[in-house]
Amino acid sequence: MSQFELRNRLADGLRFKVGNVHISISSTIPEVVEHFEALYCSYELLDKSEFIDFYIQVLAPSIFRRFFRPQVNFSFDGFFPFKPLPYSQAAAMFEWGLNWCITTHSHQYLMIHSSIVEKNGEILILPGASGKGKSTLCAALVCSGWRLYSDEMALIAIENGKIFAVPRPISLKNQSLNIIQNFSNDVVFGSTVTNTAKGDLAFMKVPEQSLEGISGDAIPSKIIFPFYKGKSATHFQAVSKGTAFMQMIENSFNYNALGKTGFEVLSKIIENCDCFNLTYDSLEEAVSGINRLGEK
Amino acid sequence: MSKISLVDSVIFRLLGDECITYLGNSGDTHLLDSISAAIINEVKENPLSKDVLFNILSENFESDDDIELSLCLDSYILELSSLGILNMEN
Amino acid sequence: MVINTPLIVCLRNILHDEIKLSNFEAMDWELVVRQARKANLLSRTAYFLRENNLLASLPDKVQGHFISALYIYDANVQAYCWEVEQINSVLSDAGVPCLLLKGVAYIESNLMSRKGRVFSDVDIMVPKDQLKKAERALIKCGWITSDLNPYNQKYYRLWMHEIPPMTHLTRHSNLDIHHSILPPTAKLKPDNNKFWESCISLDKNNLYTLSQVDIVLHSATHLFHEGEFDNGLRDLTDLDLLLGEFSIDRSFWDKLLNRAREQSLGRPLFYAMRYSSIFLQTKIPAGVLKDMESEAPPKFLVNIMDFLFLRALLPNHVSCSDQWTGLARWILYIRSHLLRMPLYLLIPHLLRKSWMGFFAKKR
Repeated sequence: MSQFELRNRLADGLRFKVGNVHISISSTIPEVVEHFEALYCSYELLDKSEFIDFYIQVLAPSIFRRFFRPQVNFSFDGFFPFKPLPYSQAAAMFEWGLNWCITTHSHQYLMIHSSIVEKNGEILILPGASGKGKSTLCAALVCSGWRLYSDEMALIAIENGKIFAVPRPISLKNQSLNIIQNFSNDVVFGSTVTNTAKGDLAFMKVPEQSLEGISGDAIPSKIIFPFYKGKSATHFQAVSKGTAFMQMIENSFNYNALGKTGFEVLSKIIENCDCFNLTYDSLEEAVSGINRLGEK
Repeated sequence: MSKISLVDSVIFRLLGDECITYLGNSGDTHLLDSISAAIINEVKENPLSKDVLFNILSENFESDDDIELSLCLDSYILELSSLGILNMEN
Repeated sequence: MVINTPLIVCLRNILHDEIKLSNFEAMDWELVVRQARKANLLSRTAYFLRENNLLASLPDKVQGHFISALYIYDANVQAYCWEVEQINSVLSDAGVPCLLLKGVAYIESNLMSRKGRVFSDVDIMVPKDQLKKAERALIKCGWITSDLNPYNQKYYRLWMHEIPPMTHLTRHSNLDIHHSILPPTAKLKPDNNKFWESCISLDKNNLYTLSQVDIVLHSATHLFHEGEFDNGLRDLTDLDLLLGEFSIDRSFWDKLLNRAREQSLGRPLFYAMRYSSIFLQTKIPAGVLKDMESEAPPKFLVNIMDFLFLRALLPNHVSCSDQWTGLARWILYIRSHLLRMPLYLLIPHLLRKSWMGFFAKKR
């Protein structure tokens, strides 16, 4: 659609889906329009009769705040979970806010803070808090033929252990931006946002192959805990399932909130996965190493 | 003779040599080593006395010194009781 | 004010086992989910939908949100049972009786009002003369007072019916310890000793709850003294379930009205019955409602309260608000302060809080 039409739809509430998550986003902020134009043009739209999971607004708090030390607010169906951020961070606020919506309200899944990629029916889970390198590694894998399920969260259905994909633009910070731009020529980025709490930030567009034909039958077979460490050799160290279990708990959004159910779901996942710590400096070597692991 | 049993609300999974336990009342999760795993696995169905447990474990774990193994078993039982995983019944 | 929102229509059906929801479409269910979430009723709605065998037939997307809420509810119950055990173990050793209030009381007493109810704090009451002993015992076992601001400490300890909220150091659970059901500064002054005299001992050692009539009166008083109504509709569903369960014994209504008059809590009970009838069609015999009219304020005031409560008790959601909703909530906020403290205490208190708030922002 044209930018004009996109702007109108966003003003009213643009309804679209990411994986199985149905979203309505309304915003009149130009940076948000640009963000959607650059990064969301391939996502399926929804019509007004379809159920929406999350009604989101990204807006200036007041007319005053639109012009004087401009700020932006994030609202989830009339609730404001965050303090306002500088106006220039509107697009990032949408992405962070949507992460919050999903991880706070989706307890029919066990949710792990991780990247998830898939190839040939095999899923890799890459758990890790921000700053450990998981998003950079995820982006590199996605540029190397892996399908993106998510760069931020694993959604594991409690009922049957299936992994649900929510493939959204990958957030990359500071040096990672340059690294990925050098890694692949086909990468498309949205605008860079400077001076966020996490530094400079941009979002990488999800390749169209990641949005098509997700079967939902792929199962996780490997859990790899990435640790970026400058000037280190690429090294995979097998980790016991018990240790991996405890590390997964540390990276889970809702293991504790789910009680016994969380334990049971996580047990099943771990039982079927080989687990590794991956220390690396070179992205190319890390990606080849992961590809070779998959071939074994 | 006091018997050792698994606390009712505890569930566990054996993962290789290790054991992950979940305590249903407190919500705590613990990663335990092979000896704890063996103890829990033995008492999961029925309470066992310390003597019976000692005999089973001495078959599975090599030790030249029975006294050392017995003290080791005592300290494991104490630790697992304090974590809320085992009961000592009289 | 239209109160037949999808959530309220749904609640009327599922709380009373009279299911006529076949005309609900996807968009109605979407509003039920959104309104229920705002009103802290998502898990209660889910619970009763499941109990009435309706959950599995809902569209998958709708079910997902209800199932999510149920998982959290189950874990919540588990966590709070453990919490009560820890608290009671400390108080029992210290020789202080532990009377449970609200959500934890409903769970431990296995009442219908426990169904789908989520809450974030444990509320208990201890005898006023044992308050310090209770607090000291809990501090020794890992609880800390969360608000150390000297003014707030004074506000709670001198004027309110509870000490400042406590939090457990490692479990981060919250505990509110009350010594009466209303502040000493409040206009209404029920005799707290009477609550203790009639309290019920639970099977577990040292644990108590209020008697049935007092549980209802406490819930009604608490709700109709409130300043913020984010849990208003939820508390109304509590009342509906409590009244439904207790009135299986036909003599309950007389006991309730007598107790309300004895404890000067007739007014909040009047409002409780009025609004649970209007919102949830709670089954209250016509004779009882007539009898309660003697506790009502003058007609003009009832009209004003209707204007306010028929708005404030709806979910705080855009689909349930009109141009007067904001004003109604604000007026009730002021009212709640006036009910809790006389003007000569309230005005300096509000000024002080604004001052403190201003300087906190500046820092």
